[in-house]
Amino acid sequence: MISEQDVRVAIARARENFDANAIPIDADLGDAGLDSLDQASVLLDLHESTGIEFPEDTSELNSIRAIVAFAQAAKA
Amino acid sequence: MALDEFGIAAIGGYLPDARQDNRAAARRFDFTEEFLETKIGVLAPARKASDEETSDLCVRAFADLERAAGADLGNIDLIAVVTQNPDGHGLPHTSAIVHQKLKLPKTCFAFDISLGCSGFVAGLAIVKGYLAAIGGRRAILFTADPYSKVQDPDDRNTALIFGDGAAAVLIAETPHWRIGAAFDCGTDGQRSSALRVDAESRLSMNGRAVFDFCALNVPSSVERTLTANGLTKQDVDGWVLHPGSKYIVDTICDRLKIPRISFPAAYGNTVSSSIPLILKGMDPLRQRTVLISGFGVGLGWATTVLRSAA
Repeated sequence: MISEQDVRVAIARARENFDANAIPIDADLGDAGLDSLDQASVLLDLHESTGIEFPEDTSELNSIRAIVAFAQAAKA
Repeated sequence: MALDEFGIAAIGGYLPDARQDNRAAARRFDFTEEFLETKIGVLAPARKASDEETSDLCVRAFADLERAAGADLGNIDLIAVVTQNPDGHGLPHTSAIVHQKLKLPKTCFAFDISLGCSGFVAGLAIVKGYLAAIGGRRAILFTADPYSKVQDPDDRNTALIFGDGAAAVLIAETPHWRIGAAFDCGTDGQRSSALRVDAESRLSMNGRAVFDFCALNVPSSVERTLTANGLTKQDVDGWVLHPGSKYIVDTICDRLKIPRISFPAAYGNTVSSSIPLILKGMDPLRQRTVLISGFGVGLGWATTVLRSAA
């Protein structure tokens, strides 16, 4: 299971000197300052820690809440 | 000749003079300056002339090899050209056209190797094996894969990364670097469509799939290669990781827990020519043990070590 905090930790690992806790849970990650490669790193980090396979098209996984929801559905 | 005696005796390189201004191109794609410099890392990829063929790039690299070798390059048993963007439609093979242009003797065999970014490292294994099989002594491994032939200048995923270039590497029994005894190579064909040329002859890349592949597979390949060659990371004094993008190289370094290495911002990712062009700037007397790893199209990887013969 991936929690909101797990996603924030992965964001902090992907992007140095970035306050992952300041991102609103529904904010668009791109608008929050994460570029496409940062977001790829976040999903890879979560995949490695949980085994969840994220889709190739990640356009829907554009917020912390969306990532948590996808992970919960994948594990259900 | 024992297999382990073969190695890299000299390197020639060629980069076309014409360059693409990636700062201007980045603005066109709405990439920030920071993204260009810290993630893509490529500032001025080379672009061949429209009438310059893949074999011409090889001939130019050969001319530089002649200067680097400082000796006659006769008695070559084999030339191999690593390319997936050959002259014309690929028949005859580009290496045969290079053979013609260099006026090589019939006793010199020629074949192409259809690989991308792993092609130089895999090519070392192939050429080394060929020389051993026929009792040969000298070969030239060419790399020339001008992606400008298939690049879509409006594709933000690929337009800023790849540059044209070529290398010609003399493989002989009196090398500066001996080729490692062990290689580590692999392919994940399930992801082969992540980097491909489509039916309209346009290059397309799923950046996230390629990134995942590299981040997950290359560090473990490096670890296996070092172990198989009886080395540790501390023994390596030169790291040459294929410069797919700066972000990929930085990620692999971080995962290997080694200091980040320099990135060839001036010309970027020249596919299979990237590793020999970087090696050309290294000194076998200072970088005595060099880890080289190529990865990309396939998706595949090839890794080995070079050890100074001096």
